[in-house]
Amino acid sequence: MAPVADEPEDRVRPDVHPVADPDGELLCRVAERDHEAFAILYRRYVRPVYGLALRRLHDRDRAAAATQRAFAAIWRSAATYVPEREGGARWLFTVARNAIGDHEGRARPAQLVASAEPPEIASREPRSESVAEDGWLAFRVHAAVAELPEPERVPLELAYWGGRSRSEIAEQLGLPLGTVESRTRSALARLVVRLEGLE
Amino acid sequence: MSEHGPDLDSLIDDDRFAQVHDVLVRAGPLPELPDLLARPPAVAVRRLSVGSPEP
Repeated sequence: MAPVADEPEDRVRPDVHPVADPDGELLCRVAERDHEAFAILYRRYVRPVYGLALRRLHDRDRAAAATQRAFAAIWRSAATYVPEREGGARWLFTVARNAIGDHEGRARPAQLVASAEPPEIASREPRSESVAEDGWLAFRVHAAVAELPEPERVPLELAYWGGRSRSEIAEQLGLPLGTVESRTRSALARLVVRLEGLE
Repeated sequence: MSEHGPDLDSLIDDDRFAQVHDVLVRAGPLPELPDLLARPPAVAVRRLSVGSPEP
C-alpha cells in the first residue's frame, strides 16, 4: 500500500468570528446567569488562569484553589463588565489576577460562596505594572495556545515547553516528521492571527 | 532543543512567526491542569428570600 501523503496542513485560513469580541459576548451572557456561556469561558481560560495562579503562588494545590476562586469571582462580577471599556480577555485577566492576589496569604482552601459574596469589580490600577504586563502576555499567549486544535497544539507545546526536537516529537506522536512540521507551522500561523497586536 | 529555544529554526522563516516565537518563549509553559480543575466550580444564582418583591 502506498504511504499516505502528508496533508498540506499549513494552509491556514484566519478564523472568522461573527462576533468582534467572543469573550465579551460570553461575559455578557454570564452576566445573565448563562451556565453554558460560563462553561465555555471556563474551558477557554482555565489553563491560562491556572498558569497565572501558579506563577504567583508557586504551589499547585493553592494555585488550583485560587483558580476556582477566580472563576467564582468571574461569575459573581460578570454584570460589572462594560464591553465598551475593554475587551473580554483583559477583563477576565484583571478579575482573575485580583482574585489570585486575594488568595495569597490565605491559609485555608477557598470556600466557594459564589452566590453570597459581593461582586468583585476589576481594579483599574494594576498592583505592579511590569509584573501585570508580563502576566498579561503569558495569559494571552496561553489562552491562544489552549484554543489551538489539539493536533497542532500538542506538537507546539512539546517543541516549546517539552524540550523535544522535531524528530523526537514525530517519534513520540507516531507521526511523519513532515506532519509535525506542517502542524507546527499551522499552529504558528494561527497564533500570528490570534496574537496580533500583542507586545 | 537548542540553548536559544526549540528546534524550530527552519520553520521560523517569517517576521510574524518570529514575533510569535518570541512571545511563546517569554510566556513559558502552559501548565497541565490538576483533576480538581476538570470542571467549572459550582456557582449558583442568588435566590431572593421568600416574600421578597421582584426587582
